[in-house]
Amino acid sequence: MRDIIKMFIVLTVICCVSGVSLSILKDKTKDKIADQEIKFVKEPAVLSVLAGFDNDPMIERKEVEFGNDVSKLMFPAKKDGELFALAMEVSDVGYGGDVNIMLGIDMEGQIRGISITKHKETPGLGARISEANFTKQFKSLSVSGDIALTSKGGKIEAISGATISSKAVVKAVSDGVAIFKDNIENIKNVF
Amino acid sequence: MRIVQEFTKGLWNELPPFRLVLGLCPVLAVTTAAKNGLGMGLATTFVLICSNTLVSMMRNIIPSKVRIAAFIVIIATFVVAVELLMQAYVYSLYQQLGIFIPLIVVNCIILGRAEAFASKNSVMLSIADGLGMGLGFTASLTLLGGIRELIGTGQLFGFSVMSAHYEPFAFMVKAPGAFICLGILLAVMNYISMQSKA
Repeated sequence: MRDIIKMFIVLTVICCVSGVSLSILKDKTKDKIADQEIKFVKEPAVLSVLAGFDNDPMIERKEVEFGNDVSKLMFPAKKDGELFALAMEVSDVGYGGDVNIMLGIDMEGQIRGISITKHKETPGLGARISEANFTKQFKSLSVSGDIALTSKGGKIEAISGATISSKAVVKAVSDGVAIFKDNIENIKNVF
Repeated sequence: MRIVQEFTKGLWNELPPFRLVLGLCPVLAVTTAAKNGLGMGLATTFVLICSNTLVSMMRNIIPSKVRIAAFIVIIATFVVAVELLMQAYVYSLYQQLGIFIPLIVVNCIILGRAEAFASKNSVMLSIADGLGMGLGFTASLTLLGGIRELIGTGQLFGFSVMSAHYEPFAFMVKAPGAFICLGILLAVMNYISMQSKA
């Protein structure tokens, strides 16, 4: 009996100490990690979906609020001080977790490009959503009916064997375009 | 002098991947370049030293029936800490090593040293053991990564070192290249130690 109690206490204490110290460390490194993600993941994605700007979209990024306490981080692309496009990160649930996509869109609501920033899809199947052959299909689309899989009458060909992943990208992008169109005045005011 | 002995055994006689043939998953998977091997090796060394220290300090408190569970919790804690620190300070390396960082938890060298050495020896000896084993592991990974990078891409630590006429043998940076390279290195090391015994 004494042995059992000792085992119980020792393991509990070890687990508690481990949990507490890790949560402290996680809290301390949180901001630094967010900075690094912006630099190494978001910046290349933003640059790949926007082109022809002469400002710095990374420095001028702003949190845009849409009411109901919903807000999104947006990266503006300007030429001669005039806002002509912006990038924002959208996401939806894929097969293995969230799929995050950097969406570049111009002021007419036309997609300039998309880039997958984070996903946990199956390598060789769902992971192929980040290949250019899939992502380039979104370029220049703007009508919401077009941003759908071909089986639903849209213009996006799904990756065979990865319908769920393909659907997640389509859903995230079309939601993003809808948010953009609904809030275009709001966005113009912010930048 | 025992402390020196415990340190140096990890560098040749019990060199983890080649002599003990332990922890082969990261050895084969991340050594596509010398830099990756070095980063993975250092991360493992850090975890190994920390876990050896703590396991050795607590060796008289942990009841033997739950020792494996306790060791795993200790090791996992340090691995998560390394993962967070790498994300915060060396993100590009973290992106390349990716999934293999959390997998340090199940690297058999670390649990192996905790079980076979640190749980039976004093703290100083355990640190020496962890440092030796870790550096041996790091050196092995860097060597393997260096050879594969050199032959497979003509570069070393990302710098071109071969002449412009060199045609990279891309097979070496793919998975089968890892097995073949490891096999050849094992054979060479066995040959050297047979020679020195004779």
